[in-house]
Amino acid sequence: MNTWVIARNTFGDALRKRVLLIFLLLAFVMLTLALLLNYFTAREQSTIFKSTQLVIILIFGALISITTAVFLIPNEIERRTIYSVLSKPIQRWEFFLGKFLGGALTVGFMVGLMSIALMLVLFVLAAKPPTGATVEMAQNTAQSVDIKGWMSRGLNDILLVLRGTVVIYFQLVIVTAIATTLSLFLTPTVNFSVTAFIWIVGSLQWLVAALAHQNKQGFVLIPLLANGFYYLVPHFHDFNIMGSIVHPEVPVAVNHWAYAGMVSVYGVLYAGLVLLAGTLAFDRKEL
Amino acid sequence: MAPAIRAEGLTKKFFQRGEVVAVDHLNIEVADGEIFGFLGPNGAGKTTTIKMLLGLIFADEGTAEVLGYPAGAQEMRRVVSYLPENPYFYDHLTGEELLDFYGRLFGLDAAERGKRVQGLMELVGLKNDKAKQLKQYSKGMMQRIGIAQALINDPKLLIFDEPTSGLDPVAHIEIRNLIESLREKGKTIFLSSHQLSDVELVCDRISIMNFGKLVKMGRVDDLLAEGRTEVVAAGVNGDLAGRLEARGAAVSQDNGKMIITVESEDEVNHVVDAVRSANGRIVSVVPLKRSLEEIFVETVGAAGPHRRIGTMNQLTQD
Repeated sequence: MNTWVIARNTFGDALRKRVLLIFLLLAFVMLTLALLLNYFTAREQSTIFKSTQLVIILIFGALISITTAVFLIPNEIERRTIYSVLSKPIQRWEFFLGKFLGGALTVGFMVGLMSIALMLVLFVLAAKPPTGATVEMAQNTAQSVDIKGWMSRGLNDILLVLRGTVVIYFQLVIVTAIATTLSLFLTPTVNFSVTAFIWIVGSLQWLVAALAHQNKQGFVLIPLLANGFYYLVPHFHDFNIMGSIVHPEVPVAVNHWAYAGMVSVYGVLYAGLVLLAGTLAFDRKEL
Repeated sequence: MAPAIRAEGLTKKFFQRGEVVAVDHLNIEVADGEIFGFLGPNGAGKTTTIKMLLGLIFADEGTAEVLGYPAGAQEMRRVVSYLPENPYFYDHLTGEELLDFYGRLFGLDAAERGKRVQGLMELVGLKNDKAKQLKQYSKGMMQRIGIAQALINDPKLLIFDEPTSGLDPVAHIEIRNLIESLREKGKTIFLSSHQLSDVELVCDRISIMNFGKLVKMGRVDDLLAEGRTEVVAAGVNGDLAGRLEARGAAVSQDNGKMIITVESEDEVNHVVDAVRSANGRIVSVVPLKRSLEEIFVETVGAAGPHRRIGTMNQLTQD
């Protein structure tokens, strides 16, 4: 109960942060600019548009989640609001989880807004005829577009974006948990850099894995470090389902939604472990 | 009845370029229902002590109990309230929303919260500003809302850290009156303040800390009376003044009357006897009350060197 009270208050506070609104605005500007990709065929345009937009949502989502989380607890200590809250009958773990949950809600709200904007644009673009048609042809046939086909393509695109957004969000839940926990030990600036580094390394796990398994001649330290990163850093690379979203027609062995569900569960479990460590650290933190 | 606060050997050390003992084996007992002034210069260890009592930081040695619960226990925090120094609250909330937020942390239901919030906004004089966001509140209003949040749970013990700091004289008096009215309601108040005139007026007992150590504790009346006595005599013959000065009394003349100031009660009896044996007449015997400020300066000064503000001369010489 107390966790939810803290989360709600954190969400309300975070939404008024100017820096987050600037990130959101920039993301919308980028989303709009991607609409200018009109020198490709309709098919190419749709493919490039979807992949670019999802990457924009991911990058701005990561920026928003790190920027929100690194300040969640340090701001409370600096502004001394934490003293009047923790002197009330609230457990420290409730406060810590409440702050994280508030941050995760903020990220979810921002990512949700960007994703709804993308869905709307894709739905409008779905009015264009399908594969093979040039922009010119599409314009010529725009008047005779088949409403049923439009709806079907539009809905399909919305579901694809929804799946992409869910996976992006759970990836960002891990990022938020890491930044919130590290904020107990690091200053916001250092925490921002460390969390961003972890996110980048985690997104390049294929490269880390290659380094870990390379021939151990030469520098022994590199495979050693790569192994450490491989097992400790979350596998953000596994959250990359861009291929299946951009090319839904390519048959794959796994069910897309089942895979999205699996990586989301991984996200929740990993975030849970990080938060458990954070809760234990916060319980004995001197304020 | 168990004391409201009891600390035994409470010690806190910090490690910043070496070990600093912020609170050094503090023994303190605050009785139920009293207003206890907790004084000391900046850096004396007052806020550190308060934080240990609330469980915001942890003692290295010693124990503390608050209202019979171990310091920092969740049950304790249900019946205790705290107003931090220069409080800052979530400024995106209105005054009313802030109190509602704290009410939720105590698990109060919506009806009870609504009733208490309205009552407290009225009590602290913010009834007409309850819908304003806190970012629009003045310092005085923030202090009032701070007191209101400290009362949301109808606490038995209130811990106030500089509740009148930075307030204008009118707001200052209002807050002081509010503190006195809380005593009438049977609340125990632990008041850390630099406003010695307030402490002198409202506190039953005080303690003075310096360099983490408790250097003085006692009833305000006793401490203020603990001083000199002035004996005024008339018609004194002979060389009485010289004899009294030889015993350590300060003697002066005013309009034919002799004013004798002595340091102890025993000396008062001796002076009275001496005046009478010199065929003099006792006009008055008045204990000279000291101010808390004098006691504070004396106590803190006697405890050892402390940080002092230099003079303009020093500045120009440097």
